[in-house]
Amino acid sequence: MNISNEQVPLPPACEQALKALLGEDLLTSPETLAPYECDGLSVYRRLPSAVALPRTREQVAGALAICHQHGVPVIARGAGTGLAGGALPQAGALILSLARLNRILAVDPERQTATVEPGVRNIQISQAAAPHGLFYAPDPSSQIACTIGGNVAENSGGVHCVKYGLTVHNLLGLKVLDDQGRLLEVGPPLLEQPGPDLLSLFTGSEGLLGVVVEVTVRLLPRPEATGVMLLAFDHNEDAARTVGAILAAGLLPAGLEMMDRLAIEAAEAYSQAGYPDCQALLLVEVDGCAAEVEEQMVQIEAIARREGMTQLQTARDEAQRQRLWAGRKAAFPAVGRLAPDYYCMDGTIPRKRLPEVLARIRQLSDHYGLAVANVFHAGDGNLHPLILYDANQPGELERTERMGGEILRACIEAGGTITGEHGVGIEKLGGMCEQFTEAELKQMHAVKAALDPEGRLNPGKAIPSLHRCAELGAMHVHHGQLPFPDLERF
Amino acid sequence: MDPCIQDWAARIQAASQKKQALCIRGNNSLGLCETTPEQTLDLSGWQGVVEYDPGELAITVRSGTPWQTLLHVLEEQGQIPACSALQTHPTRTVGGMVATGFNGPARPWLGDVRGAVLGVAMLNGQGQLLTFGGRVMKNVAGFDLARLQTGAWGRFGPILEISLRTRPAFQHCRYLRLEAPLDALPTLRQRLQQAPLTGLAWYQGNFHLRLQGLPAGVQQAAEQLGGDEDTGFWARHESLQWPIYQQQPLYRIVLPVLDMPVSQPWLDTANDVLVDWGGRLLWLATDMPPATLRQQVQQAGGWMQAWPATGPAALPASRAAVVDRLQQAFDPAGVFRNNPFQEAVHANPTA
Ligand SMILES: Cc1cc2nc3c(=O)[nH]c(=O)nc-3n(C[C@H](O)[C@H](O)[C@H](O)COP(=O)(O)OP(=O)(O)OC[C@H]3O[C@@H](n4cnc5c(N)ncnc54)[C@H](O)[C@@H]3O)c2cc1C
Repeated sequence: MNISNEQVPLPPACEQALKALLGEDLLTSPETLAPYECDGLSVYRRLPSAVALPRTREQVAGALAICHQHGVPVIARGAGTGLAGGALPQAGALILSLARLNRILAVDPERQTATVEPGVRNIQISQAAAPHGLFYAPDPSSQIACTIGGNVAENSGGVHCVKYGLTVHNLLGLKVLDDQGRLLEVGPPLLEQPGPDLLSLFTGSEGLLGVVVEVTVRLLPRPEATGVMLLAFDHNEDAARTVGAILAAGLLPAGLEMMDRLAIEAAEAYSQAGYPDCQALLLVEVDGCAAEVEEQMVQIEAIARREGMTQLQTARDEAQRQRLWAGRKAAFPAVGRLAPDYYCMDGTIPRKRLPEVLARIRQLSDHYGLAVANVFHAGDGNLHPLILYDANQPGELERTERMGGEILRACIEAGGTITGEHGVGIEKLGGMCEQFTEAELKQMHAVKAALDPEGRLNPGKAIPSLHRCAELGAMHVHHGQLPFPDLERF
Repeated sequence: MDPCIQDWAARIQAASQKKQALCIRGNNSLGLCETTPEQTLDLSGWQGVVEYDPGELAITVRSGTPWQTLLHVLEEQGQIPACSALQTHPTRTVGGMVATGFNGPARPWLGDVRGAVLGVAMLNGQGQLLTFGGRVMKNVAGFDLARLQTGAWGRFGPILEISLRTRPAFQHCRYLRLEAPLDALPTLRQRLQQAPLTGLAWYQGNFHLRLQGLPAGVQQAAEQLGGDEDTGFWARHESLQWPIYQQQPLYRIVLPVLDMPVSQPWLDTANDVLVDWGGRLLWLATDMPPATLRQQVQQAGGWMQAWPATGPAALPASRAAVVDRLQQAFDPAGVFRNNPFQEAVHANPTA
C-alpha cells in the first residue's frame, strides 16, 4: 500500500505557465487535489502535484508542450474508474484530466460512426446513437462513468465481447497528442487503414504512448430481438463445460457470463433477482432477428440439458431480461456487502482450463483463509475472482495481494494472461515480469522510447523496468504453459 | 530451439552487425523477393498447425502455412477465421496475409485481419525471439505488439507463428442478386440493417448479397428481400476473378462510405467499377491520372492503392515518421528496412 499525503509541487515556472494557460482550470491546492489521489484501485493513493482540467484540444496540446519544456511527467486521466492504478499520481507529475473534453462531435448514421472527444462517457455514445437505431458495442460494467479515452487506453471489454469484440475491434480512428503536444492522426477512420496497425498499438497503451484527444468508433445496428437465458447447474464443471459446448456447436451468443455459488447467494440477497438455488449459473444473451433468437435459444437449451442443466429461466421481453441481468449487474456491490473490502482480479485463461483453474482458486482460498466469489465473462475465459478481505486487519491486504499474485500465476500457467481487460497499471507490474521475457520487455521499452523519448508519459506504469523485475526475483520463471510453448527461448 | 529458428536468428544477428539487408520471403506470391539466397529469409517451408482446439476459438500456425490450408483445417471442425482476409493469390501464406493486412469482402460483418490476430512469435532485427499477445481472446498485458505486425509488411522482423481468432462457420448461406442502379444502395442498406449479412457488393448493374447465419434468420431475410438466387458471383469475387481484377490501371479505394446520389467524377469516367463492403470499398479501373484520383479520394476521406499491390501503401508524413521510429525500435541496424517491400514507402513518403 502506498499512501502519501505530502504534496510535491510542480516546478514554479511550469506551474506559472500552466496557470497562464488554464487559469482556474489548474488545481493546485490540496483540498481540490484530493479527488484525484487514486483511481478505482483505491488502496493506492498519492496526492498529485497539480491537476489540469483543459476544455479544448488546444489547451491539452499547450499543457503537454509546457510540461515538455519543463521536463514534467504527465499522467492522463479519464474518469478514474481504472482498476489497476493506471491513473495513480506520481510525485512531481501533472494529472491531465480529459474529463472536460466531453463533446460528441458527430454521429453519422450513413457511415455508422460516432466521433467524440475522449472525456465522453461510454454510455453517452450509445445514447447518442440510439435515435438512429445504432449502438456502440463495448459496454464495460462501469459504462455510466468511464470515458471512451480511458476505454481506448485500457482496451476495455464488457459483457458482449464474445460476439462484438473489445474496444480495439470497434475503433476506426484516433487523434493522439504526443509527449510534446503534437498531433498524430491514426486514421482516416475507415474499415481498413494503410500501414502497420498503429490503432492497436495505441489501444491498451495505458497513457504511455500519447494522449488520446479524439476517437471515432464504429456503430452497429441495434439487433431487432434479444433473448436472455439463465441456466442453473449443480456443479461448476457442468457450467464450464456448457460454455465450451455452446461455442463448439457453432453458436455465438452476444454474452456468456458465469457466477458461482457465493456470487449467486450474494446477488440474490442484494437484488432479489429470483435466481435459483444452485452451485453455478450461466447467463446467456442471444440477439439477431426474431427468428434467429428463437432458434439460438432452442439450440442452447438442448446443449445445456445434455451437459446437466438443472433449471432454466428465459426472458424475451425487456422487463424479464432486466430482471435476469439485475443479479449479475449487482454482483460486485452485492459481494461488497459480504466483507469490508474485496479485491477484483482479472485474468484470462483458455476456456477448457476453466474447471481446473476454478478448483485451484478454491484451494488458494482455503490456504489463505480468504473467501472468493467468482463472477466472470466465461465466454472469453476472462476471470474476475473477487477476494474478500478486511483492510483493517493487519496483514490482510498483503495476504490478499499475495493470493491474487498466485491466481495470476495460475492463469499464466494455464496458458493465459495476467490481465484480460483491466490493464497492468501499477498493480500487475510483477505479473508482467513473469509473463514476458527480458527481451520482450526490452522491446516494449524500446517502443515506448520511440514515441516518448524522455519517458514522461505515465512513467513507471504498465511495463516494469528490468531492475524492478530483478528486485522482485520474478523474471519469467514460469515457462510451463506460455503461448507458443514449442518455441524455445533464448 | 528449432534449428530453422536458430539459423534465421543467427543470420539476422550477422546481418545486423554488418548492416546488411534481408528480404523476408513467404512463398513469394507477390514476386517481391528477387534476392540471392544469402539476402533472403525463406519462411515458405515453415508450415503447420502448432495448436488448434476448436473450443478455444483460436488456432496457432506457423507463418508459412498456406492460407488455404488454414481454411481447410478450420473447415474440418466447422469453423472459419474470425475475419475476412483478401485472397489475393491462391498460394498466399498466413504470414503474408497478416503482414499485408488486406481485408476481404466480408470485412464489415466478419471483422478485419488485425482484429483476428491474438498473438505472434517473431524475430526482431537483432534476431531475438519474441512472443507478444497470446492465444486467448482478451489480453491487455503490455503493448499490443502482435497486432502491430498487421500491415507492417515484415518491417519489424519476420513473424514465425500467428494465433488467430476463429469462429463457428455459418450454419446456413444464401446468395441473392438484385438488379438495380448503384443509387439504390442507401435504401438497400437501410432494408438490410437487421439481415444476417456477410456480403453486399455491386457490379455491372446488380447488387450481390450474401446472407449467412442460422437457417431461420437467413430464410426470413431472403424471403423479405426477394431477388434471384445468385450462385456464381461470390466465389469469383472472393478469389478476385472478375474481369475488373485483370484490368489496368486498377485501384483499390477504401472510403468512409460512398456518397449518394453518386456524384463522384471518378465513377462517371471509370472503365469499370466494383463496389464492395456495402459502399465502403471500391475497385476502380480508370485512366484518370493517379495524382488527381488520389486527391479526390483524400477529399472524400479515403485512401487508395494501385493494384496489384507490390508494397505497403504510402502513409501521410506524420504517420510515416512514427513507423520509422518504431522500425528503429525493432530493428536498429535496418536489416529489414531496405528490403524491397519498403521501397514504396520511401519513394513516396508524403503521398
Ligand atoms: C465498478 C467497475 C466496473 C468495471 N467494469 C469493467 C468491465 O466490465 N470491463 C472493463 O474492461 N473494465 C471495467 N472496469 C475498469 C475501468 O472502468 C476501465 O478500465 C475504463 O476503461 C477506465 O476508464 P476511465 O475513463 O475511468 O479511465 P482512468 O481510470 O481515468 O484511466 C485509465 C488509464 O487510461 C489512461 N487514460 C485515460 N484517459 C486517457 C486518454 N485520453 N489518453 C491516454 N490515456 C488515457 C490513464 O492514464 C490510465 O492509465 C470497471 C471499473 C469499475 C470501477
